[in-house]
Amino acid sequence: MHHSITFNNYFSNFTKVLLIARIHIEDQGITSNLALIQWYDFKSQSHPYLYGCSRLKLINIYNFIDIEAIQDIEHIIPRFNLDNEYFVNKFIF
Amino acid sequence: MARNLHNQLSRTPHAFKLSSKLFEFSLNNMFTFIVERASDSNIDDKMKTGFNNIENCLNVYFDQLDVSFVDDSKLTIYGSATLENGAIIRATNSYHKRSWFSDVSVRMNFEELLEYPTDQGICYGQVINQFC
Repeated sequence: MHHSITFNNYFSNFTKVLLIARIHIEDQGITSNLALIQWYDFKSQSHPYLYGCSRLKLINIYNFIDIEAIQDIEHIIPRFNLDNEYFVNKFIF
Repeated sequence: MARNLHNQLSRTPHAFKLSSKLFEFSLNNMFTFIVERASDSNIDDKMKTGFNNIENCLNVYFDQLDVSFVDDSKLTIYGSATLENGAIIRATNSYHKRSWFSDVSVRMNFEELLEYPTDQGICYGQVINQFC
């Protein structure tokens, strides 16, 4: 499952939470609070921002992360008339 | 004095609390559980996508921690969780009769990034959020 890493110029740390889960591994005494997340990536590497906002798309990459790794809630809104294109609304805070 | 006491009380920590339990199953029964839920029209497609990716994501997560998990491990799915800053994230089919799957930003430092599993050569990192 591990793949080689290359770096894009612009990194997205925006995600959508699909599941909130607690896993309990009895014999090891481990309990983890996790979120199964789907990643957003920039819609375009050459034009990552529009109107001063990140322009994103949802991609088919999923991960479990610790709930503690979540920084904050974001307001991500679909762009009108376009499929799989989103803006991060940075004007509401 | 009374004010101090009040401040202390109102700062009761409840960070990372998970609430509104939705499902509970053992990893033994995961496939049965997922197949049963696949045809349930009350479950949002986003949650179904989540279910379909549980196994892969669990494998990757525990590989990173170098922990082997056994099939009788128990998984509980919750509808919401409280973050450190008091914000509530949701992943639920019905919150006031509407599905709600929160969008969030994730903390990642560079060391973790190098260990992070990626797919299709795509990698993720920190965006400098000027607006938070």
